[in-house]
Amino acid sequence: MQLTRTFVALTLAALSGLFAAATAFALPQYAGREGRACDNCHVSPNHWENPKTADRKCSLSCQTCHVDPAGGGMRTVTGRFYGRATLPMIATSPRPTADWDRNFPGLGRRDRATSYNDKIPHGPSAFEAARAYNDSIRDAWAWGTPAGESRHAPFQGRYGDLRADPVLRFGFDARFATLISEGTLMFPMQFDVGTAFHPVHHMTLYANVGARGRVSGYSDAIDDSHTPYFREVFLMTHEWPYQAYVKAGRFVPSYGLRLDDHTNRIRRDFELDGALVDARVTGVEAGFAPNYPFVNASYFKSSSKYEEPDPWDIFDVDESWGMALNAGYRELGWSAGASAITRRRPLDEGGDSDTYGVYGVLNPWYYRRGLPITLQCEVDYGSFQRASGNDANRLVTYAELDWLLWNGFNLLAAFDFSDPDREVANDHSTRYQFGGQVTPYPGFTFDGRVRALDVATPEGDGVDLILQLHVWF
Amino acid sequence: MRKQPVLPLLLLALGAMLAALLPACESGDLTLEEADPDAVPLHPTYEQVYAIVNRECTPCHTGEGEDDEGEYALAPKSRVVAEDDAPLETCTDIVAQRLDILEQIDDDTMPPGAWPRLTSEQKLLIRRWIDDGAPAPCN
Repeated sequence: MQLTRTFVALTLAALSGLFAAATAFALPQYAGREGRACDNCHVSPNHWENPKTADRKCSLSCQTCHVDPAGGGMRTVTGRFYGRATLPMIATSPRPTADWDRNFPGLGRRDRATSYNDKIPHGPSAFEAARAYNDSIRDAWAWGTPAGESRHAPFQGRYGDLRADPVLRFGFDARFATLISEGTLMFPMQFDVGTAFHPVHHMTLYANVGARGRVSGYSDAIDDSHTPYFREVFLMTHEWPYQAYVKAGRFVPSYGLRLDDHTNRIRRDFELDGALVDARVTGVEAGFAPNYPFVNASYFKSSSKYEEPDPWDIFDVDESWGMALNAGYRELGWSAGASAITRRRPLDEGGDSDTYGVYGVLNPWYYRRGLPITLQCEVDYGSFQRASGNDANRLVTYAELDWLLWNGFNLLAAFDFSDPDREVANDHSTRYQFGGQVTPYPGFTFDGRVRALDVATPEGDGVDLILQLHVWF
Repeated sequence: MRKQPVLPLLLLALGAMLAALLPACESGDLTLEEADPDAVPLHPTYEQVYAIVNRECTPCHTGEGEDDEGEYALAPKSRVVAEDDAPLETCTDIVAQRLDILEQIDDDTMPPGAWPRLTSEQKLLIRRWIDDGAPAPCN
């Protein structure tokens, strides 16, 4: 208990004065929490007729909240609803009933969107009834209705007044950061604009263009070597039974916990750093998520490890190929998965590598009210070829504990460990993070973390404070 | 209250313990040169060095470029490095500061704070390039 109080005090101290902020991707921690209440993802399911499994759209997989089934980037209507109803301190879509008494002290029970009486909004109870809800749309950021009909597309009315299945939608993520270490560094971190074009059911063209910010601003992001680029661009067929999909184009392969912290070693060490163009591959990915197993499998070609691919030409790949598999089971209160990714490349393009990982998320809140914590962890082990052609092994682990103090106010403690070459001495490091995220209103999240790095050389240990404002839509 | 699944809880607890305890396992006891003398090229090229510096150093060590007036910049050109540090953007920058670079990456004082440090492979490559006379288009 003393330790808990100390942790809370330290974290609050770190956050004081800045209200740092946020991460509004449907991060694995959000997905882990969703299962405790159905109305996290759509309006209260009164009178709901449970459809057969093939028709169900309920899932805790990334594709529930993101257009890209592998996670990250532009959100689906479910992700948008979650971002308005559950995530913020002040909700603009109906708050889940289980959270009515969890508002920040002083904010009161009422917020902008929630009705505290028997007039809890609920949507259509079946596919046939959804047509009657077309009049409910009040969504200035999504347009049109795709041609045809699909029982496997989101139903209008289940997401409040949001347009459930638009023809055209835009989204964006922008992050501005302040890093306090030996000095203070302010810089734009990210700017992504996503577009989803969905003229007919079962078919979507998705493009997400991103720019990396630098200390000097976005200016460096538009010179020759730091241009914006296609982070993701693919054609996808989806809205099929069991939430099956196939996509083809440029993407980051589905693997493990897709954290938004691109410096995290479970992403960075395996060429999955979401900030970098070289994490992108060109290929085909297929998957399904039939309540609650999930499988995502991809075959791809990538560029050389030592050379950034063309930012706009998604077919700029080298003599390489790779495969990734991510599969597991996501229950309402827990999930467990396993991932593997293999790359085959000539030595001068990076050589061969094989990586295997297991991960899990536990949401005790589902089992016990008053325990709003989420635990997630991942362990990865892999082999790779050095430039000599000799094999070497690496080990990376990650664990994170989140505690949702109030609606929109999350505390976290995390660590990641990396030993990039098991044969070499003193190249390992451990990083600890303490901080939190505050989402006062949909679209704005503040994230603040104290981070401490422990390396083998004592003079190399370091501590910093990183604050972010994440504006998302 | 919902039924608690015992097996998943045990598996997740095991996973968390693994994540926490595996780092305690002993790593190797060799330097990269001892473990694999050919782990990086004996004569690295400037392009190989530039790729590392451009990714790991330049994002913070930016200089006063042509857009100094901030035409596009949305943030001040502050740096985490000392005021008198020169940028690390051009070939001339990198060649001129190669010994400083080597010293700071070798003792892990750069990158600063809690940013991931360079790998043994990256460090050895830069060291060999310097030992080889730092061949570069500008040198």
